[in-house]
Amino acid sequence: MTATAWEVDAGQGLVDTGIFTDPELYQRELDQIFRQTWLYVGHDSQIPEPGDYLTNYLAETEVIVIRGKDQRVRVLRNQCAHRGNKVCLFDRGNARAFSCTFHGWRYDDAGQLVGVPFLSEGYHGEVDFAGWGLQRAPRVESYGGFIFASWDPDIVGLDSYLGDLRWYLDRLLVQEFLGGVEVVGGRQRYTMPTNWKLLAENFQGDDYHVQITHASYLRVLAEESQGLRGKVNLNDRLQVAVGYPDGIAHGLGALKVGAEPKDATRELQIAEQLGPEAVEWIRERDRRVREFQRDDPVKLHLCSNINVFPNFSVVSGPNAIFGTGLLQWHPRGPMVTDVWQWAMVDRAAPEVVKRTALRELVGAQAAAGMLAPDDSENFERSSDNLAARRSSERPFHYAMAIDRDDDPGLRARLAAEGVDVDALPGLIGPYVWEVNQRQFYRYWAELLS
Amino acid sequence: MTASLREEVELFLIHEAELLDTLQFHDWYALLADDLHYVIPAAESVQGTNRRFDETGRDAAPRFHLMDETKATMWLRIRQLDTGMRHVEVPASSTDRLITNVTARELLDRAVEAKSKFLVVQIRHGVHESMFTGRRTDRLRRTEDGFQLVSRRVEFTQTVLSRALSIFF
Ligand code: FES
Ligand SMILES: [Fe+2]
Repeated sequence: MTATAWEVDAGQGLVDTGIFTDPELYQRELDQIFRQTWLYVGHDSQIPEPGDYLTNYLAETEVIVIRGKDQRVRVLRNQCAHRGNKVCLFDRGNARAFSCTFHGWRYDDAGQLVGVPFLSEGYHGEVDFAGWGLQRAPRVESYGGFIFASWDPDIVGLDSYLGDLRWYLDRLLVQEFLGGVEVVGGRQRYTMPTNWKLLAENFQGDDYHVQITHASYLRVLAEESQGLRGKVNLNDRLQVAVGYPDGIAHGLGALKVGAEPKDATRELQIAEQLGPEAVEWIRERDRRVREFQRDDPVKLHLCSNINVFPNFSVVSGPNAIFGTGLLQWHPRGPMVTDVWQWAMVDRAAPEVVKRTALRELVGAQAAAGMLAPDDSENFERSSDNLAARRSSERPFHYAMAIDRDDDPGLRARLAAEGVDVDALPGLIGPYVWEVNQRQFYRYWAELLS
Repeated sequence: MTASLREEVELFLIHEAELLDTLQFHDWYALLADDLHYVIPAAESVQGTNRRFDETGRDAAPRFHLMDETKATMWLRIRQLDTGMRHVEVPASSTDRLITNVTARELLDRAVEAKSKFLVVQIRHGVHESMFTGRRTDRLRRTEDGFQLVSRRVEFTQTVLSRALSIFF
């Protein structure tokens, strides 16, 4: 089968299962998806000082994300220009230079080649230092501290790439009005025998699975709600398709909006169990949220899941004392994905709030949480079947309400509650909705064609 | 370290592992102290140090761990298994927890510090095999009913785990 023959008919909601298994298509994705998009690589708070770096991956390619002496963040391929050895062996650190352990070529914090052993004896002084630095991602930009890189020198700016998503990121992720956020130490890493797209589309818009896949979690919360976690009501949640119908497709799910800002009563109850510092912070936080949202025509309360196309996802909790997870779906072959997860908290929060928030996240959507392993299980089972795939196999079904992307009834209902829902950027839909997944595959197919 | 203390501790650790391998989660839960702190830090290699793990004590900086549990959060996990809808454990994984290299020393206040190494084999659906190895540092408390687990710190040898975690260590 030629690579272009894969059927992704987003208009019919049908997706050929070969896109989750085919090795040739996977190679094309590496070139046409992962080299033509902006990929998340880290957060400013992780590399605050000159020389601070962390290593990460742009798809399969290992990179060093380093803040230079000039404060500029660069993304350097972790591959010696001479003959390909790695020049950095750590997950994070602080370095002024990287020396290769093979023949000793040496690179500065901007990736420039600055040293070559036996320069005069071996090379007679003739080395093109400017031309043989570490390969650099040509584009590195950040949005509110979230650093992205792209191999495509001509890609649109990150601001345009994120588009309408920025309105949501400002309120949910960047949160400058709160004094910003902090990605704390510790990265979770585990492998799943699954194609990366099944994970990305799950965060892009599969809220349909929550009440079934996570039934055990929801039941435990309902039954044991005397703790910090409360009963979850999902019926009043929404989804948003950013870039609908023909732009760069990002998705948000399980949003809650209102005519008034979110009520902080529950947060205050939790904070009271944590002490006066926590109470004071929640009061102050609530004040700042209200002030920031004063001119918002519609107030954003919550959003559980986001996917930034292609493979950077976010999970947030139901309240302000719940850490936010940053997830990267690193492709490792057509049927293998390495899941990396980081955690983020409000930078100005007192330590007791940070600690509790992190613990809540660890217990929920995280490597050993009460949510994520059940997702892994479903994907593992699907992938067992995908491994036995035959080319004649019928496609996967993403055809829920296929002719009704827009939901005027929903908007009328919200309008009746006094919510100016048309003021929300993107296409708004109900909680159980497959538009976001169809949009994911629509944009994915566009990039591949 | 006296041989008898070591043996006593080892029997406790073997008993505990057996309860988990045989899915007797409530009996296992009964061994946890009210002030339990159970933590599995995530491994990271940091330039300039040979430590793969950061401090996890109550005074350490807030960090994102693999598990970071109190008795209350362990209870939620046990209750989740009770629902029969914790899909990742339906049917339950086959596991064998091999506990070895046990050492023990007396601390003040009837407490004992126990160190051990483990090899845990987990198999799902008969075909998906995972292996976890590592070391644990436990604090045990003597009670009239025997030892209770007060704190446990688990350090995996693996940096990239072979699957999401749905079992206890
Ligand atoms: S491979 Fe790095 S110096 Fe030769
Ligand atoms: Fe899920």
